[in-house]
Amino acid sequence: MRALWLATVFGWAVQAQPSLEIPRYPETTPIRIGDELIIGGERFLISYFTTKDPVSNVAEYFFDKWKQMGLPTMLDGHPEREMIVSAFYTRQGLQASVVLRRRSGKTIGFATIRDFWFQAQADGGADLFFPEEDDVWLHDVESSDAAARIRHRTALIDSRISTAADVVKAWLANRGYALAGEVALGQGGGRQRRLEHTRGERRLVTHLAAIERGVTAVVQTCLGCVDAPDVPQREQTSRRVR
Amino acid sequence: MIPCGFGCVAVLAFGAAGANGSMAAGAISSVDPVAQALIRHMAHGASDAKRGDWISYRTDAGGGRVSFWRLSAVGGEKDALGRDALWIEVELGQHQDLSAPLLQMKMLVAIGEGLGAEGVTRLFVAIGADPPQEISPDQLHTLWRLPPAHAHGPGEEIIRAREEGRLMTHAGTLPAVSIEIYHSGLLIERVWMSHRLPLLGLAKLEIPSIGHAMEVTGFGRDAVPRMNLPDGGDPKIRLDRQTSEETQ
Repeated sequence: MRALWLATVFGWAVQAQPSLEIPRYPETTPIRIGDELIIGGERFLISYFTTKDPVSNVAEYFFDKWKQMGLPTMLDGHPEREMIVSAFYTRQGLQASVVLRRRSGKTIGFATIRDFWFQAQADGGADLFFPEEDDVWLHDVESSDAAARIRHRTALIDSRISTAADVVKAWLANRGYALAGEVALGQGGGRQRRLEHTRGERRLVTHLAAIERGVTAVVQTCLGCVDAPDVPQREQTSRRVR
Repeated sequence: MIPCGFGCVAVLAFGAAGANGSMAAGAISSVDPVAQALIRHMAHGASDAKRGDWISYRTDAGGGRVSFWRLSAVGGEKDALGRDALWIEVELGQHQDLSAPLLQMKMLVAIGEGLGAEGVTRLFVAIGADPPQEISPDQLHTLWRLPPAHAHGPGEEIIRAREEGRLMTHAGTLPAVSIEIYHSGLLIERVWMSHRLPLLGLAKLEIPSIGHAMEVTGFGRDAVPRMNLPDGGDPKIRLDRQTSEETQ
């Protein structure tokens, strides 16, 4: 959109961009995973397919196809077990990849488009628990389709499960959430917990699991936490991915 | 995907061509000699370019190192100094179609000036699949440095021009003048210039001692913009770090 706007303002013609699709392998049916995923702040379009063809044949198909299109293309992995093929649409700022893995006599292919030019807005996730201290690892995933936009946050923190649960409850209480339910899961009830909080139409589920002594995994899923999608940014990717 | 160093070198490579066409030895040393020669021509070239002009080249640096360049004049406007200027796009890639260039640049060049310090007042750069960014205009001067006294070291340089002849190229047979550059008696570079070609006028270039070559593959008058430009609010590339590294 930005390029089109500039083109309008300055009277420049914009060259037609080559058509770009989520990678497809012949004679397979691609299954889309959501409309779009935002992982670690980057936008992905993902689908998967299965085929009886060996990993090396599938990898060779994509490698040759992309090389013939004049794209910088990379190939990595083991030809019998797992391979990754990537191509870069440098004019559009997009990366097309297929991750191929052999399992139960079939090759499973995950095909992705990654948008290098997209940066997720730092909003919509403010309600999710963010460990300011003692966090070992933190990762965000946002998925959306026609029905809903869902935000997931995963964190590993240096804390016992009971302490972590208290911290999460306090965090959400400060943001106006009410505890709607708390369940202890697993043997002895001390290894896992599930918390459910609500605020208006927002519903936030927190799973806590003791990974090892003093380390707890916190997985949060929020329905309704993400604000209305950023239409221009979404269109920007859609314009470059067809 | 592409190391920043490559982009920095590429940007500096273009910037390193001084107004008189000599090369700044430091930054340019890591660019292959054919590219250096092209850049040198660019410092002189494009002075009589017209909107729509384009020209493409194939360079062969030996050992399978083939690359493709395209220069095009895609728009015109007044520059910040009130001069009539052209938007020149430069693309570099590994495939003739340049459908996915490894490097793209777009520069606003004053008409009558070369692609050097005096002529360029704005510069956009896109490296690999990274989003295009503009080099801050107030930092552009740091790209250009004083040329060394002798590009090829001390010694006598002789330039011999021959009468116009016919030259077969990938873009067809062209009328061309052959120019040979000798240094201390050795043939360093052989260049064919053709008045039929837009922008640089460069038809072919050879560096015999290392077997490097470059040749025109196409040209025309119907260029349109191909580079997606950043939003005006996007951050501009600052060169402070690069500059400080160079001075070390």
